[in-house]
Amino acid sequence: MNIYLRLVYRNIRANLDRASLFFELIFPLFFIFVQGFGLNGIVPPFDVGNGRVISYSPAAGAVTLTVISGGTNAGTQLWFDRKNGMFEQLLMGPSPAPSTS
Amino acid sequence: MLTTLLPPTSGRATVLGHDLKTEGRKIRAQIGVVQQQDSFDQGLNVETSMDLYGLIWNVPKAERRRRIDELIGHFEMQEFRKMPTVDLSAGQRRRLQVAREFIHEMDLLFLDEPTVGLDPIVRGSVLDYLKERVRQGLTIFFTTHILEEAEYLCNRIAVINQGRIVQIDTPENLKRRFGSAKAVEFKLLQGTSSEMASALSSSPSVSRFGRDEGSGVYRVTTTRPEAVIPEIYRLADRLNLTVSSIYISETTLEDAFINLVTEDGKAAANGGRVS
Repeated sequence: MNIYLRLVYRNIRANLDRASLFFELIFPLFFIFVQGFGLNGIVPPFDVGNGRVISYSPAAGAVTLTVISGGTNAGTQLWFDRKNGMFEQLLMGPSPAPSTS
Repeated sequence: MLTTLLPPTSGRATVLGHDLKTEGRKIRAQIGVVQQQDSFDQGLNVETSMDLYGLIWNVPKAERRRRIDELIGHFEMQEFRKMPTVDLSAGQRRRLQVAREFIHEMDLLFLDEPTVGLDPIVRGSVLDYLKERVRQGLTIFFTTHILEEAEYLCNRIAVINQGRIVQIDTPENLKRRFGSAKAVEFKLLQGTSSEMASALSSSPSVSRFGRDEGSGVYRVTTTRPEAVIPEIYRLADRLNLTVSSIYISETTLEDAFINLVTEDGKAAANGGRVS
């Protein structure tokens, strides 16, 4: 397996604990389906032209929250790795992301 | 810097024949590093953490399983092999960190104070394991402030003072060349005596004086034990004290280190170097 895939697999495995799964799966669902439908009532649908209308919950909310939660989770992993010393450890491993060459 | 974590500021260095500036990846493929600071995976247990680390190093699955079992046995981690790494004590985490590095093959291992936080029994078994690996051909670059460990493990010791290597030699040669002082150790029947301590501290024959609080043993470092021993008995007589035991101990690496660093400080002040 390629080193990049091995690192990605390691990040996924390191995020399969209960707390991470909650923030990755349950929390976005809560935002989209509970808060999203709630906001749908007060955020007016957006007319994108040609008679097409996008409401909050299926489009903008879902996209935004997917981006936010994805970015947050990736950032959290990096933050934990920095805090726990794994970031430096991985940089000194067989990874191709060196400081020197 | 030698582990390629930091870029070189100036000069040239090679590790295992590879240039530090241009062949960092080749170097990293052949080395292992145990940092001084903690390093562990959040959200994984000990066994999975070791397994994923082995995966990153592309160790085949069957080989990973075999090595994990072997290392867990060697480093006495059976009782916490399924525990999440965040719940481990500092000593357990240290053991995991050292054990994990042996999951992959390497030619050179950098160990930065690997025994900090370990209890004496585990520390002994870790050092024995390291020594065994050295015997099998692994080169270890071992950084420590505990000189007994350096003496036990190392074939060559580099003494660094103020960020500069002042001497590189075998432990025996360092002791022979710089450990001229001997240590006279004695105990008083009465336990302690501040008068005795103050008189010996100010004696011209004594270069260092201290007392081990646990055992109550006084330790006098001197180049003239033949003058210090009668002086101890004279002082004991005068102060109505009884010396219950006394002996001259061999020069330790610590004595040699202190002498060397002191000499280096003096030489540096005069613009020279210790030779």
